Amino acid sequence: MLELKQGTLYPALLRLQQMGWITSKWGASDNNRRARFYAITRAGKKRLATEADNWARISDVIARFVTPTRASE
Amino acid sequence: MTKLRVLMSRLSGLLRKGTLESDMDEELDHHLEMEIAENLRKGMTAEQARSAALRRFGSIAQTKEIYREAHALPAIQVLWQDLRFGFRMLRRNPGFSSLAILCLTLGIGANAAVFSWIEGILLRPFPLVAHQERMLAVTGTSVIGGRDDVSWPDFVDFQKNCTLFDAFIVDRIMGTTLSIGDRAERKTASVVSANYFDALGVRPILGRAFESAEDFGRNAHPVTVISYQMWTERFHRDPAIVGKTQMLNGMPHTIIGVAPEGFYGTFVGWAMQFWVPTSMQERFDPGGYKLEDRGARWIEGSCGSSPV
Repeated sequence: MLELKQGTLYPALLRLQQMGWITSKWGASDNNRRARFYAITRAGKKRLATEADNWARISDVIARFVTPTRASE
Repeated sequence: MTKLRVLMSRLSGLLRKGTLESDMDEELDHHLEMEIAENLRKGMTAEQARSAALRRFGSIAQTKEIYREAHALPAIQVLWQDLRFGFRMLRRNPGFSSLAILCLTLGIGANAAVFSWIEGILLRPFPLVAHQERMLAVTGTSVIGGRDDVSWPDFVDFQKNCTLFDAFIVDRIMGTTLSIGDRAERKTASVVSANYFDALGVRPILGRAFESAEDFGRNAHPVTVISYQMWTERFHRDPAIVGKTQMLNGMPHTIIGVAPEGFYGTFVGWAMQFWVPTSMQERFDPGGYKLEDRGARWIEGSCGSSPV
């Protein structure tokens, strides 16, 4: 199974932020420590919907190729 | 649009480099701490909890490096580092540096001087003249060998009969006495054929250029086109200058036009102050009346295509 290290999350968050799809601000965490909070923006939600649609379409197409093979076994 | 936003964000990232480092450290530390706390809660020892957290996180140094690269514009930062390194090296070796700078300065300076000289003398010797790259000099040849100027009857024949070129012009540089009130000054000027300004594509900013009739008739047309410089310095940019008279070589001339700024005539290295038509030759050019003498070769001829 594909495994990503947690460290890869931060550069990804930074890129999302640069594209304006999420925002971040410093705040206090549950244990009263300075922590960074990320929130999705409206542009981000729109983008997410588009990408989710794309993904659905692509996986649908792939599924159509894959499923018959399994059925014919 | 998104690209622009990313660029802006990266540019501002350049300016906030310090806060980036501390924010990044704090955020990653916080992440690890939370992970360790979680592991401890699961019942690991402190040692186990820490190494497990680090393992799951992956390389911290690598993460930071990727983060830094994405945060700003690494190319610019690297360039800046190189520049600073360069300056440090220059400072460390002042003798060598000043020698190198001196050499470059002299080399570049000399090159620029030569190129502007070539440009001025060879490539574009006559400012404001249209199609000067298609201008050619017309000379006569003399019996004893060598080149000679052309005579006025030659010019008239060229103009009448030669179909090779669109226009022939002639131009004779001369020194002239210019009198204003009781003062007199020596000025450089030209006797030119009446088609001179039209053929060069130079339009007076005030008044008119010469008319072809002004080439003919012995001393019959005491008119002059003055230079922009003269108009500015002598006449203080008088907008009503056209029609006024000016004493030139002791004879009053009517000012009919003002040449545009930056037009100095067609004699390399000289700035003409005014121009008079060929018919005034006897007044300005020593040696008597020459307009009917084919042997009197007194003017420089040029030819070229007329401006489109």
